[in-house]
Amino acid sequence: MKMNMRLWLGSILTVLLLIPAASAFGVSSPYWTDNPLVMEPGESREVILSLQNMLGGEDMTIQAEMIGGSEIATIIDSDTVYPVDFGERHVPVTLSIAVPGDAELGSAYSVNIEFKEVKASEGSFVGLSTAVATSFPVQVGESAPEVEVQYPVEPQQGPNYLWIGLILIALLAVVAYLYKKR
Amino acid sequence: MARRRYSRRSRRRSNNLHQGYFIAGLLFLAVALFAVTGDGGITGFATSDDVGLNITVGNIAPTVDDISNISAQNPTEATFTEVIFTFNATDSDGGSQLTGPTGRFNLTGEAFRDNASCEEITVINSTSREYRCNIKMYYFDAPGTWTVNATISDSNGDSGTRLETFTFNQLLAMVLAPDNLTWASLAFTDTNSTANNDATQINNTGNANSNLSVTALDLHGETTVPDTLNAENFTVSTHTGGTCSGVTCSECTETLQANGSAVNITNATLPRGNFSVSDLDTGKELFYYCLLALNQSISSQSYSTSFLGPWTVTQFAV
Repeated sequence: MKMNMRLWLGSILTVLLLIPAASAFGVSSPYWTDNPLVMEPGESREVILSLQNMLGGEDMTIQAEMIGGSEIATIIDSDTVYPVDFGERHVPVTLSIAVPGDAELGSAYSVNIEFKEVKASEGSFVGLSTAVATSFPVQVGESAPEVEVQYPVEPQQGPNYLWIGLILIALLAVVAYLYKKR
Repeated sequence: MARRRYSRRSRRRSNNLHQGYFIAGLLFLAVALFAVTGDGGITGFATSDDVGLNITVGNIAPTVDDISNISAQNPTEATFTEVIFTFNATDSDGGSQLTGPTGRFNLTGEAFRDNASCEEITVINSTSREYRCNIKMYYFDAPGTWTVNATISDSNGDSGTRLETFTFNQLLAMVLAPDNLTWASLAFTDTNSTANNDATQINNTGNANSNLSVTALDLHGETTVPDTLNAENFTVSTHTGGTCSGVTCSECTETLQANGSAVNITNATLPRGNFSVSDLDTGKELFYYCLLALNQSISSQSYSTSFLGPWTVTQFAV
């Protein structure tokens, strides 16, 4: 009986260790520091960023906030709080970029957006959450063609650690039962 | 009289002789010219011989005629993205001679990604085929314009290549664990107390070289809420004094936190890379925490982030 209890506790502990202790998310962008967006004076364009949640096994809620470049850029989605379910590879965040007509050729702006995990902190400890601050330069010059990004048709599911853990518990339970019968 | 007749006859005979010599010379010249230049002239060579002919028809190298357009691709957190493209190839000697279709992605300074065996999907006609390549791009592969190389060979060993490009976008992403910090029970006089469940390991699950900041918030009492442990009493560091206490703990001498303000952590970098590599640097960073001292005026109870919310670890590209 003692051996079986130890086995049960050991298996549960093993499973808990296998399940990641934190979830996280990512932001994909077609523009970055070394790959600026080039637009002409007076030009307007939409840029789509992608939120994804491929790790941790839990759905997340992400809040977006412009922290720089609001003189030329705005988030045009009706709600800047985005549910990103586990396994989602493309939750779009749409920006509208408008370069003033009197902008000087060769000048540049910086668009900065922070994406923060909306998370309640519970329990008697110091909780940690994650945030991602993405930015890209907008250069005023001869306009380049819009970047066409291929988005996934269906979200790809990453490994579901919870199910893996439950299956392991079941297997260990079988082993324990057989050991007991012996 | 006889002498004059004799002289006339002599001159006539002489003239005839000169004319003969002249005509003979002309005839000789004509014969000589004909012998050298005329058809069937005298050459000294054989008049006929057998000639052997050996004609080799060379192999025509195959060509890659076209590569399908590849849209910009987003990386996928902590795994790979399959990038698919097609290309057409032609061999004038016959499409059945086409063999060994391969695809490769290159970027200077990066490991190449390839499919050494693309599959034939269409017989276009007697000389042309269409192939499809699936190539995996990993989450830590650099963002930028990658060169696409499609190559086809034939059964004679000749090959043809065509180049194209596509853009691999930037992905800012990370995961950290554990997502909470705990301390052992503390006395009011305790100083330089380190968390008992650190380090926090932060893995870069994207392809952007990054830095990190921490926004700390005051901890409030769970029973008497107005009592606070100020954020400024905490430090965050990328290294530790190990099993240490008090001032010997190097994490207690590092970056001080400030309530509600993002503080860049000294020397904290989160480079892109395969974080699965068993070391302390590749694609990862570690954080250690220290509580310098307790506010002497607070009550004895549990303090946490339940009231104001969790601390935030922010990743930003460099």
